[in-house]
Amino acid sequence: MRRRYHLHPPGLLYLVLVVLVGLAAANRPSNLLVWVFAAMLAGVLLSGILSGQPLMSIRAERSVPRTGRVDEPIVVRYTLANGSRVWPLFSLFVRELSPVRGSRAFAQHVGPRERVVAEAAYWPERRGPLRFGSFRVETVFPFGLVMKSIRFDGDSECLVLPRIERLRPGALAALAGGTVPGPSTSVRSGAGSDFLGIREYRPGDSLRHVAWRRSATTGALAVIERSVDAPPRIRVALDLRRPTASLRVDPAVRGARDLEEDAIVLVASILAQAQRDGFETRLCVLGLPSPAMPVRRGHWHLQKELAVLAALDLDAPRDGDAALPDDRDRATTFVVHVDRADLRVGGQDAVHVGAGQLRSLAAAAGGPA
Amino acid sequence: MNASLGFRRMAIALVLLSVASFAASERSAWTLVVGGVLALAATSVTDGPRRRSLPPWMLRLGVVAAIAWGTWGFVSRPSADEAPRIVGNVVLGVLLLKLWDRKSPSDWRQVIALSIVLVVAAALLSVDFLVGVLVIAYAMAIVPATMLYHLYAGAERAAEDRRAAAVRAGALAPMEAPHGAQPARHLRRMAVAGVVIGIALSSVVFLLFPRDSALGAGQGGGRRSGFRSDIALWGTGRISLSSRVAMTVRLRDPRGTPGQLMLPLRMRGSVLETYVPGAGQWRGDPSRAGDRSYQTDGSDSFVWFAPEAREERSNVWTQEVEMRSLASEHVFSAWLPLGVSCEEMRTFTIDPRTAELTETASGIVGRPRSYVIRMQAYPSPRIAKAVAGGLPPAEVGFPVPEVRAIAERVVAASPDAEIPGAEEIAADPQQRWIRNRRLASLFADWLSGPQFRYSTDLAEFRRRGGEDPVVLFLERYRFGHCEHFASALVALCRSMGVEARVVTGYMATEYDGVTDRYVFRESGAHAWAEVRTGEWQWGTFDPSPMEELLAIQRANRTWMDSFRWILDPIEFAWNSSFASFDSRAQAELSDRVSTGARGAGAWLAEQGKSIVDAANRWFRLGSAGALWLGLVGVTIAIAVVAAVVVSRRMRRAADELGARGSGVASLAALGRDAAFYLDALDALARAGLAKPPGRTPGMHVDAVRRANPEAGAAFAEVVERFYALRYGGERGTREGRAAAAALVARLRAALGRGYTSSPRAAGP
Repeated sequence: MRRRYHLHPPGLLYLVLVVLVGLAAANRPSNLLVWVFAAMLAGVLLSGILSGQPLMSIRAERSVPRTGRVDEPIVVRYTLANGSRVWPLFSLFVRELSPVRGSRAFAQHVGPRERVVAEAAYWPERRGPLRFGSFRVETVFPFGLVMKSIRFDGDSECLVLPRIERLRPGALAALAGGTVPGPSTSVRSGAGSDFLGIREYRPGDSLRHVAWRRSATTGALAVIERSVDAPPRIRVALDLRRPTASLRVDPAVRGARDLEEDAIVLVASILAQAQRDGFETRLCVLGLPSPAMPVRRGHWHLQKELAVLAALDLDAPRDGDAALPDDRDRATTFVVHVDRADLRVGGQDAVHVGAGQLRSLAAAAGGPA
Repeated sequence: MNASLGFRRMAIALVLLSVASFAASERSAWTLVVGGVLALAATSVTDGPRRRSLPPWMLRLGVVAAIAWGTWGFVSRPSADEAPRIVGNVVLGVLLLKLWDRKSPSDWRQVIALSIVLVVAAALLSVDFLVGVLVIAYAMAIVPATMLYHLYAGAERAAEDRRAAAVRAGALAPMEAPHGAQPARHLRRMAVAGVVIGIALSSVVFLLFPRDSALGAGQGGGRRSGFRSDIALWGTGRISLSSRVAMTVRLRDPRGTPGQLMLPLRMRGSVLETYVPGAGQWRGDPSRAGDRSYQTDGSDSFVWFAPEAREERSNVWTQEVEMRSLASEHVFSAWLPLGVSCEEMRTFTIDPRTAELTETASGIVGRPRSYVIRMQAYPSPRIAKAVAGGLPPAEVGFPVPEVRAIAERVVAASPDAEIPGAEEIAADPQQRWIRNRRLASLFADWLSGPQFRYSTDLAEFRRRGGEDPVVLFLERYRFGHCEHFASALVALCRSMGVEARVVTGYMATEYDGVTDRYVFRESGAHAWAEVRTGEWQWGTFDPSPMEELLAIQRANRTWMDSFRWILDPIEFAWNSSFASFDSRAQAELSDRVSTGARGAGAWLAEQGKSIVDAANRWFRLGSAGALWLGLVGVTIAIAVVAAVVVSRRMRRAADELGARGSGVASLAALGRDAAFYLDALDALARAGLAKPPGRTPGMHVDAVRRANPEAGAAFAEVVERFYALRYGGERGTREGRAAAAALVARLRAALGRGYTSSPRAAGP
């Protein structure tokens, strides 16, 4: 393993000064000047000894979160381990060599045999996989004359989820025009309020659920079963069947690719809003390969749906004949189109939304949800 | 650890040290007081609770004014000697202005850079002890200061990075600075190590720095202060009149009674006979042909420069010299030296033609602290000839023809001088010496006249075309210091065919009646002329206006001079060992080191042999005893190496294999059987895949496999084998160890084929 030394402007200036003092010392009979020159020269050597050598004993590991979100900080942690038994390390910067917008991680002190976690915040500007390549630990400590660095190779990836805009309250209901169904009951037993049936008592059943009259009649304990409340369902389809080049857009207003991204953001925002409103959701992507998603509710389901949106590769070939699967879920279907609505998608009851409506649906000047 | 606060304190200390060193080099208490007060006031105001600072336009205006002032100063006094002073003053001004500014890390960096330049300017100006101490203190302080600066600036930069990268303010928590005593302790340790290593490295560079000339005290730096063994008339800087005591001298009459003889008393140091026209330089004889060397034996006894001198009893005076701050290779004597005595074994060399005495290579680093000289004020021709050795007198004639016309004009203007002519000299050879004496007196009187002015400020003494400085002094400027007066007298005499030479040395105007000693101060460094007034006699002629000279010296005394004796021994050591460390001292030091190394080697061999002999006698091993002892020694060495290897392996087994607390035997067995696992970890660490302490071997297999699948597979087998040994109750066998070694070799081969996720150095 080798270090790398970088001469930067302050060090260069210092070297020029050392050379000048050296010339003066050679031409002027002053031992004090000679000593000053010697001390300045020693400073250069000392700079390498005091931090260059201990830097060789450093080990660094990078810890990247699995997901991030556009315009939200991704905190990447670097574990710096000083393997030296004697020398501490000071003022260490960790810099990503791949072009990622963000700050450098900084560790002011790593003692001998110590591990310190330094964190850097990166701000992804687009969805999709964010790849981290090699990174470099560098320092100009102790004198700032020469920057010493050591490079670590390794690939890490963070999936950047699309941005989510907070939609106006009641936006979904307004879009659906009253077609959004209310809660229904299911045939599964659970902690709902509707009667499902009576069955014999099992150890562990609560005494509250005992059907006393039926038990008195039959002479055996029986309990009342209730059905689970089934939340309303929404199916959100993203229509990406048309290739980007075939979209009818006015480039002066908004580019085709930007509009596609807006459509993705709108889908993500609808899904997030629906989850917040208590809906079960299902994402369907038309035109691009994507995994089939079930109808579910909850944070992890939303994360999965956002991950599907994040992983969409808009440069991949489109399937123009893709169609929505049959609606066996009895859910309200929202179809998000990029440029113009295709009313054949989703049947008669489907709600068609354009990517251009993102701004109007979003809460006023609201930040990401 | 509050790096910001610590750095600010250190930075102010650095600024004060740089201001103090520059003030000391300038010998200006005013600079020290004003600079120090302004620096402290700036700190308390700008770092105070209200953080007030000067408006930027005012600072810019001040900086421009300081630079303009410096440029104007240099243009009005274009001199290499003045340049460091001007640069230093400008930098001091800018530095003080900068302190009144609001300071970011880059501003602080500029402050430190300016203070470095100020210290360099101080070192250019002076090599005085006080300046040296301050410069060294500065160099020691700058090590922790820059360390603290980079902690402070790094934290600021990181915070700024974080702020700049944030899309939205407040989205990220601010950074946490490390706290607690440990970082501060580590920083202190590193600073101490830095200072120690830095001083060691700088000492090595200092000792090895090529030097080709002899240095004396007062020669370092731009200020001309104290004795100099040569003369440069074009030196246009201001001469500093330091009242530091250079040496003290006690004179004993032929009966041995100390006492005051006369004032002023001149002490000859260097005799300069060769003039370089145009350059305006007087030099001694570089060939030193005919020099004779004598070595003192470290006792009170004298070494004599001629057999006749030993026998001489008439009018022989004794001069006891004690150096105070001056360390010089030149040996000073008031009159013709006959013999010398020194308490150290020193080598003294006399130039018989000029009677100039020097102390030459004697194997001792540093200059003699004291010596005693026997001398004669008016030596008889016999003694003078014996000491001078019959060498021809100095050259006659002066290489600047214009001086002859001036001399003739002066002689023509004094018809009463009664200068013997050529006919009278031809008739009576003694008339030659009378002519020499009368001409020298005539010229000295003319130079001491009101038309010439004594001045130590030579700023206006500028070059004019190709004119010689002696001619300029005589014809145009008519002001200068002792070197100009002495040079002019010698030039006038030589142009008229009179043998004359310039002498530099010291002049005492003070006598301490309590200690019966003449006190020679640095300001007493002087130059005068010697004119040949007989076959073997040289008369002293001093054309410098004595009244003005004495008045200037009296005006320069301060009350602090009474306490200078406290620092004298330290200053002498500084001047003797540091300021005058020249090529000769380098050679002597080199000789001593090599001699010492040889001596140490010989001593070690001797001690080893005596130990072997003693052991041989003790064990009665006979003639082959040395062989037996050698075998025993080799065996012991092997045993020690083996013990170290085994103990290290045991310690590592205890630490890394989680067997801490096991018995010694089991640890040794585990260290032996599981050595292959440790070797594998070493190979991985070298390849940048070191196993972190908290990670299990199995988890590390996964990490290695991700980076290098082939190496991961090999390491998996190593770990499997290790688990079987460590936890599976398997016993290590020779075959098992061989198989494990093969696994490690496979791992190394896989690692050698490359890996993808390991730290490696970035190639250019």
